[in-house]
Amino acid sequence: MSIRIVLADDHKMILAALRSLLEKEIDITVVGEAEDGTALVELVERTAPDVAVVDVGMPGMNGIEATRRLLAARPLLRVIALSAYSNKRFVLEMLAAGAKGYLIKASAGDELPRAIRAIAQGQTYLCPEVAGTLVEAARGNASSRAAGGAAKLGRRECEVLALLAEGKSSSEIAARMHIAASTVEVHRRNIMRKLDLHSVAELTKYAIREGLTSA
Amino acid sequence: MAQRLSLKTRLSLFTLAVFLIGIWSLAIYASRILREDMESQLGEQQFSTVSLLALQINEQFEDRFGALASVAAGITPAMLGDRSILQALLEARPFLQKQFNGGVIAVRPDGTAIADVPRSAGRIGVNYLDRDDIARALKEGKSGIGRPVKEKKLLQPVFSMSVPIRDAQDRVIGALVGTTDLSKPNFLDRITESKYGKTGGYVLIAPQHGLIVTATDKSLVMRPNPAPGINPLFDRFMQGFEGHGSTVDSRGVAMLASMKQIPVAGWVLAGRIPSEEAFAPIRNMQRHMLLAAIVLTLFAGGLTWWITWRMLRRQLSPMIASTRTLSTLSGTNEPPRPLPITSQDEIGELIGGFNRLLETLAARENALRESEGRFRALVEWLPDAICVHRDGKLVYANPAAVKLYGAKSAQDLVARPILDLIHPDFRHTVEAPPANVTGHGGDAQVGELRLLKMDGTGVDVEVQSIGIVYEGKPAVLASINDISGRKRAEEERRRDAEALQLHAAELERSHQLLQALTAVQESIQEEERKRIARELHDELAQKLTVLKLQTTSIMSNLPEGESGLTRQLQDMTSLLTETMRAVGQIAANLRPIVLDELGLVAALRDLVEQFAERTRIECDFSVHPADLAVDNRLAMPLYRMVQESLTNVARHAEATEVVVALDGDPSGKITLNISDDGKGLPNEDRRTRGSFGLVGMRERAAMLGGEIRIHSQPGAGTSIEIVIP
Repeated sequence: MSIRIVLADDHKMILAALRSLLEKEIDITVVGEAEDGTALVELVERTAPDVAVVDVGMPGMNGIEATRRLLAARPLLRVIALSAYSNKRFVLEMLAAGAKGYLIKASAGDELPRAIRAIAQGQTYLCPEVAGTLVEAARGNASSRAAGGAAKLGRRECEVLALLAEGKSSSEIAARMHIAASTVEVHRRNIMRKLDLHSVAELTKYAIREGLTSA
Repeated sequence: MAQRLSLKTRLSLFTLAVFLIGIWSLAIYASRILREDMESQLGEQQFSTVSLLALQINEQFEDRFGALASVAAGITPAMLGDRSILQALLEARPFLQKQFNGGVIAVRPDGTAIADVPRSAGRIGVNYLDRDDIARALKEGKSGIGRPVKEKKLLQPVFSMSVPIRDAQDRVIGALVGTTDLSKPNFLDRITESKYGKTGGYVLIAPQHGLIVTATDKSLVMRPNPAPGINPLFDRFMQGFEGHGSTVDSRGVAMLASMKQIPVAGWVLAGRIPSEEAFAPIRNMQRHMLLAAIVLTLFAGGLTWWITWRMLRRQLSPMIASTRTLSTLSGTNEPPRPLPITSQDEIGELIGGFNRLLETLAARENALRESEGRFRALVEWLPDAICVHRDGKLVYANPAAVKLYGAKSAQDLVARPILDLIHPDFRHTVEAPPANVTGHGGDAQVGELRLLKMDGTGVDVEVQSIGIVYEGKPAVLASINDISGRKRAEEERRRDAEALQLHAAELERSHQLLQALTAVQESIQEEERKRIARELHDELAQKLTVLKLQTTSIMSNLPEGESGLTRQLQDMTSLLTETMRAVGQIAANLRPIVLDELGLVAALRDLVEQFAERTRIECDFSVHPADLAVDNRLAMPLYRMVQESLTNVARHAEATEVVVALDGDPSGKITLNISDDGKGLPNEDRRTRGSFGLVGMRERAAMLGGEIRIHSQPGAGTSIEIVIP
């Protein structure tokens, strides 16, 4: 039993090249092609494939949005993202949308059939370049997360937190630190977000506990 | 002349008045003093006469009481029992009958008469207890004079004197009563018969009984006294005052009266004389004095008149002469001559003073004439046009005014109505001149108008008008300033200002155009980049992709053993991969692909993360609200601004952390906040001039209709706030 797939790309040339590439694989059957996100959603509705190979950058509804829609309607569908870019943002967005694989087009020739098979079997597949991007991203996250506690806050944020805990208003803090009042607001919001705190009272408690203020 | 006569008359009258007042006040004062003195002297005289008379009457009463008492002492109780003896005793005392013209009676203690001389009176057996003196003698044992009454038997006005009769034990056993018949001649007739002066007389009054006992005027006998309060002097007399005073009697006749008490009887003797009679000599003398005063007055008046007339005539003659000289002088224009001084008295001084006054006046007049001449010359030579007009007609114009009007001489202008000299367009402004300009002085009125020159053209002037007195009559002085030059200059200035404004507007337009052009250029540039990126992506990248797919396909279809070809193909695919990556990179550099595909938020997040990775500067990015959607129009410029800011931070700030925040509010306002903790910007100047990046950002924000605010302090970092409404 062959794997039923659909292809989505806004370039006919690519679609044609991919088709010819996949036609050689006997266990993979291309059941349809779409040139944009909307057409893809329709196509999947109609053909109910096992795997969808989706270009990230498409006019109208892009690949990310289309993937989100497809998986919302058909949770069992497997999606492989195929993109010209290994940009972290794309990768993360796509994976977040539910794609199980990500290939850059440059490596499609070698890896697409392998990727389709892996995905169809319930595995994930990332081409080496994308994997590298992800590792890089993970390392950045890890470094910021490793310190923990108040270290998560920037130097400025610590200053703002201390002044907030002293009961200063945004405009007073702005004047003291020579920054815009709206910047103080940004810091305050970021502090609350980072520390998952929701009131000035909690901020004050936190500041005292961390020794940022004596107040 | 009338005034000089008047002075003389007044002087005469005044002197006369002084005389008259003197004479008359002396006369009146003398007569009054005399009258007072005389009154007092007459009074004293009268009083002493009355006193003497009163003393005599008192003695008479005492004699009679003495006679009665001696008879009474000889009466025994036995005699009272035998009437005949008593009668005989009384009859044996003829002096009793002499002293008491009404006879004498003896009464028993019950008041019944038991003896009576003369017997013919028939009073025996009559009870006399009703007579107050008899009753008092019987009951109290006191002698006394009774109230004058009508005798029961005699039927005549009488008064009685009673003496008690006592026994050996000093008990009152009866009384002896002597009666005086007032209708018959008696001892009191001495009063009635005496007159005081011609019409004056005496009155004997019994105050305790309130009636007149007897008087010179018989009609007054037994008449009651005036009630208290009617005659104050009489009341005083009744209260025991002895002396004299003036009063008016019941008949309205002014009287001079004196009074003296008669102690034995408790009666009062009054003497009185009509004032008219008493003061007749004074009146006489007053009449004489009046006559003398009148004569004196007439004499004094005549004398005064004559003397003052003579004196004034002589004394005032220099003044009269001076007055005449002055009146003839004032009629001519001659300078005043000094007046002759004829005497060295007050009038001489007066004329001297007047002469000095004349000198001062002459000096002042000269000064005034000189000053007037100077002013006239000044006005004549003044470069400002000066006109004087009165009642709407020009009366004076100085040469400058003549020149201003383009006239040949002042004669061309003088006497012409001022309205003819004003441009028709401005006549209405002067048709009703302000009231306060017509009088002398007041505030100057300033106005601008256009005059009509002799050649019919107009000239713009500023006119200051002020009320003056010209040749003795009120007029208006107008100082006229030719302001046509100033007007022209003003006009030019106004035109210059307009031109400047026009230029400024043009400049502003140019600036806006430049901005628009920059915006267009910017967007063209962006579009171009986008197009090239798109082209690279859509055409080149896709074709490369296809090429690589096909190369890969060929490689996989290559039979075994073609190792040379395989290696070539492998090199080719490597090269293709490299090329594709390069193309991707170029496209990404031209245009952030994430921005196009995933929007501003994702693009910024990407940008910030790349920045953090590249620079090792902590960089936080937050969006509020989390699902903020930003208009495509704004996306690229905002992205570029963040990019620019981050570039600046990396290049200059030496910061350790950067916070980027994108805020949107429901009204669509977008606030982009980029702050760092670096060394800050040095100052405002370099912020705008030194860093082209910030200027560019400012332009970009302005193009979007927003603004950019930069807060920075050396050492305290920089925060950039971009607000797009």
